[in-house]
Amino acid sequence: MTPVMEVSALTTIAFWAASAMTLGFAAIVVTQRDVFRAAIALAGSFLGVGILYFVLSAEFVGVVQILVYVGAISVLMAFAVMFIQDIASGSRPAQGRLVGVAAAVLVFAALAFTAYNTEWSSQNELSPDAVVALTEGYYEVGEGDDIRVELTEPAGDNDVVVANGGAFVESTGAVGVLLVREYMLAFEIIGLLLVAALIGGLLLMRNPPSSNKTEKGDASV
Amino acid sequence: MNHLFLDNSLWRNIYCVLAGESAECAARDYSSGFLPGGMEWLAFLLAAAAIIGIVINAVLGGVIVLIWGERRLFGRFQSRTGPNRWGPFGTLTSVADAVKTMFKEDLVPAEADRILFNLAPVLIAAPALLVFSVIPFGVGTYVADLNVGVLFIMAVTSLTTLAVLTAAWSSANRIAILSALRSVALLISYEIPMALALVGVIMLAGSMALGDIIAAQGIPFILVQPLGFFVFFIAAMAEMARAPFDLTEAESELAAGYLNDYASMKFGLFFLAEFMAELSTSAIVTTLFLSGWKGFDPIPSHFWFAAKLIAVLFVIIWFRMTLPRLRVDQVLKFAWKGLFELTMINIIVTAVLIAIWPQPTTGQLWIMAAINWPVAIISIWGVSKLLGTPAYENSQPSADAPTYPVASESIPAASVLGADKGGD
Amino acid sequence: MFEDYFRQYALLIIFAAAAVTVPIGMLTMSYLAQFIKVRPSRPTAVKESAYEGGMPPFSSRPARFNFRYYYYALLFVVFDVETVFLFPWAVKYGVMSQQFGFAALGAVFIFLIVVTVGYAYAWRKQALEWVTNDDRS
Repeated sequence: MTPVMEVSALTTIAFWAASAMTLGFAAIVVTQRDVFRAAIALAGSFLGVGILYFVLSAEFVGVVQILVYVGAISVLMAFAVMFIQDIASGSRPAQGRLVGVAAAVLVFAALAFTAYNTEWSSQNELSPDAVVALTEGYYEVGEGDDIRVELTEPAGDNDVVVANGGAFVESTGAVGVLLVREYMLAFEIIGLLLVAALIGGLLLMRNPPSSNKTEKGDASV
Repeated sequence: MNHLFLDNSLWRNIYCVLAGESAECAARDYSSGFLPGGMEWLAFLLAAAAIIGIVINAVLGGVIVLIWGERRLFGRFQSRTGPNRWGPFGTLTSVADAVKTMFKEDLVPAEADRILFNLAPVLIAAPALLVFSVIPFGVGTYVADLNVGVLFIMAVTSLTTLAVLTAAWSSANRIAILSALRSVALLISYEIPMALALVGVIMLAGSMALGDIIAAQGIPFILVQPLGFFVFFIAAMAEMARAPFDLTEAESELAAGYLNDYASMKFGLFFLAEFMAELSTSAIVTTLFLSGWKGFDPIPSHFWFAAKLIAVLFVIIWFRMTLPRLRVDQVLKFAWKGLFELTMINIIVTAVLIAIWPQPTTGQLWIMAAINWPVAIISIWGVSKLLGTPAYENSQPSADAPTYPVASESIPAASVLGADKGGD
Repeated sequence: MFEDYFRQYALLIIFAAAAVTVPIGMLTMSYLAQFIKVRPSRPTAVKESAYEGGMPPFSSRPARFNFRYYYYALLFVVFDVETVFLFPWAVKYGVMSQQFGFAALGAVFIFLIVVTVGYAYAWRKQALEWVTNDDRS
């Protein structure tokens, strides 16, 4: 298969564009005084991160990033901004800038350290039945840089059949199988966490202070 | 096998005519392309531009036809003629409307946040258009067939919520903001049952790619997933914010809703987005539940798709003409207490059925249909009993109890394009 | 397969660019029309005031909203995340139930039960309702 377009060049362009988008909108979030504009810019930044996931061929995570972060979390934030009473004056200038910068640097260092020191798990650590469910119908064929994915078992002499690393398999199904087989406990804990978040949120929002009582006219709106 | 890109015959034909003897086109006998060798990337771009241009123009043209057809149908439903002045049967009315909208004076409120105010129409129109990128209009006629197609549609349509909030907040109008709050509550409440209703379809098809879902429909999934269809259709009607869910632009209460202060083409983009959403929703219903472009042979697949699309559109318009507007508390209660449970029942029943017959054949699909229909009818009946009618609606209102009059005017925003503010 | 993935998304990016360009182009056309005297542009103070059904506007943004809208936003985020976890399971459910039988159902069944507990809590606390008993009293 001759490539129509150099894939690596394409992904490089996409990576830099998405990174620029993410960082650009993030810069707007930080510098913008108007809180609502900052919330919208944050949605743009989330969208950029979503595109980065697509570039990394993790399409499921990318779509979920857009669905949950841009579609839900941003709305929650915009809502929260609208409920802030004194919106017109904008956000107050930051008080302890040095502390903020220090915290940001620390968080970044922690993230970078973790990313570099994590042994990213590969297919080999998974149980065989999960691998079967993951790679159903796909075979990775070839050696070195010349690895391609075939739908049938290869017959060539030089070809080495590699257990598919999951990169080219649709990532959605992979996530599904892993959730139910390998990380079942984590999956159930996620359910518990969701319930905890729901109950906590409802408890916090129960009985808003009397000063927040809605206007008479808004009651039926 | 499944999502080989070159299944996209529309793209491939254009690409191969341009690029000639490249590896992709080896199976076809194009002697030589118009472009010299090594220019495949240009062929790629030109082919992409061509099919994307075709799809976008078809959608915009479809919106023009839809507006005309909807207004004609409104006329029939209301025992009047409908638009009939411009062109034969009034076909040019919506063209005239579009031209008029474009050349009207553009008003921006003095207090508005100008950047966000100008951004909001784009923010609402672009996702509405982007949905069409994954819809298969016929055999091999699509822009992209993503592995996460269904989720992609959900993600893209969820961007509308943010656009609505932006539009209302930037126009600094209290009526618009109240409308946006209602609208967002409506949109986010119905997004959950809408997504959950599709889980059954995805379980049956074993894929989220729309092409695979069509291929899996030995019989249309409306027969196998009646409950899923019921919930999805209602939730999709609500996502479009049309009657009976048009409480966001209840003109007796909120003027024009969140787009209150928009005029000229910005107003036009909001309505363009609304009608594009109507088209795309019908296309999605057609694809997921009515087996898409499938049909029997002498008639080409595109005609099947169009025929099913028009049938779904007719039902949507029929609903809009028949049902009065709901109140905000009714709408939200219906989403969270009614539809949510129905989707849960649907997921569990479908999961058990698939555990019995994994990867069902057409015969097994019929058996599932035979089981699912009674389940659907019983559970819809049960949920409607459970929700019931609150006492305060049936009894005479007492002195201390607040009354909630049902929105009385049943004439929906029929003359949408004529009704923008400022008049003609 | 790998290249198909990126070619699809390349097409999608071009489509997205077009989807943004088309509305911007329409707005630009409409804007440019005012320079060839096709589109009027004579703003006055009345025209630039917020439209509140014809009455003179008496305030800009309302300072207070009904707090109940926030309940729905919160519920939405929680159940949206739940939905997202169901989708990948549903995609491979047919294959998995062929291989593992009812075990594939069991994991998600527990998950659904756990989430339903939260749902029942929200129902009991009347977070799902618009008009609560506090309002009626």
